[in-house]
Amino acid sequence: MINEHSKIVHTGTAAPTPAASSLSSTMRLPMEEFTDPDAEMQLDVRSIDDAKPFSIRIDKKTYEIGRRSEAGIPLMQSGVSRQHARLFHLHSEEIIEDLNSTNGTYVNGVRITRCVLQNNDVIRIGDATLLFTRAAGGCR
Amino acid sequence: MSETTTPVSVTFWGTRGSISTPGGSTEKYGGNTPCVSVRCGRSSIILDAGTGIRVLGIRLASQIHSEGPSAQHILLSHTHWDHIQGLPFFQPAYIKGTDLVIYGSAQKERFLESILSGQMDLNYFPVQMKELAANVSIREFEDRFMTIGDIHIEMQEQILHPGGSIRFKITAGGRKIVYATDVELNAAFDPAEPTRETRRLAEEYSAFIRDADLLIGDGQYSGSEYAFKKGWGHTSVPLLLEVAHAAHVRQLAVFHHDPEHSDAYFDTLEQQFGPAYRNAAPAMHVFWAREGITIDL
Repeated sequence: MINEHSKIVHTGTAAPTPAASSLSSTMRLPMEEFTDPDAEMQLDVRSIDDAKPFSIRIDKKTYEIGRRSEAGIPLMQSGVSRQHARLFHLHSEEIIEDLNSTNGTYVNGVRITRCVLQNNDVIRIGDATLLFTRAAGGCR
Repeated sequence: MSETTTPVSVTFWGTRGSISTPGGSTEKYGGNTPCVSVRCGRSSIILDAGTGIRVLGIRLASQIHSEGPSAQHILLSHTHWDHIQGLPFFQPAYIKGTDLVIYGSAQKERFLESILSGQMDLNYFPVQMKELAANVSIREFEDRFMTIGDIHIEMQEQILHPGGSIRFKITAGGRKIVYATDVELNAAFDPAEPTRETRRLAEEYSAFIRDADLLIGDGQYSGSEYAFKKGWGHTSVPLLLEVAHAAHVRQLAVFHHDPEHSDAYFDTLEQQFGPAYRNAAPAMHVFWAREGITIDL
């Protein structure tokens, strides 16, 4: 019933089971699990070519990402549209939105139109890779 | 604009199964229970009314205040708590002039209206359903097919879940999306004793999801967990992936996450299964559905 095409063979280790220490809704949460909405945020930009990596500190404002030199976050790598994506702050969240780019915006491998960003999300825009991080802070 | 060029977008507002799970370890994929919206041009529908519908309601209320009242169509897969509990917190229900239409299965011993108003009984919630300001209409499915604006919907009953559930095939803008949560596919595709009925159920499911551009599928358990949860009405991840791939699904969103599973666990699963299916023939893109993400098809 499921052999019409190449059947997937699951190699490697068996599916992991959740850690015994994983949290349930009835357990008390460790305070360090919470993120601070005022914590510093940044994008670490890498490229598949040899361009020099760089980091950008993100504030709660709107950034255009694209090949235009006047973009808030200019990316000159190939595969990046002039106005490729927008990063903005809304309701305590950082959101990335694709601006109908030619090659799309990917978050952790998923082509998105819009996505609420979380710590350590990997954004791919053309040949550039952007790591979104939010520094651990106090509790909220 | 012709129908085939109208963009279709799908937004996940709640992806968790069973019960909402707030906390640091579920922040990335989300802790709200099922709610997904599908938009095609000016037409839109909402699939399920779990706790995720609250945030969607805030967005819609803001739109209604700036653009005027609109009609909201909510299709319920079934009425277990995790699929209806957000309804009393859906802001458009409290806005006069909003047409709120809620659809669900007719094959229950009680009327859908009675079930939904029951959870807003004064013993459970301070506002009763009859007090909502919106024009609320509760409709039980009378036919397998339904059209809302530019969105065409086909329904099929799923008996492999306690109390039953419904899966939806949504055709819009030349794209096909299947929402099939709360179903124990292992009981049909990998039963202890195969029968004509299990084969029929398996074939019916495969035909329903075949060639879907996006399948939002129940993948609550790991393979090893499923062994202890037979009959609970949910599917194991490896089986869901195999069945979806065999039916030539192009993109699979694994959905109805177990409350005990953490963000780190889903990241591990994605790394384990994702590349093999992306590189298979035909390729299938697999991801674990997460709150706050919108994808265009």
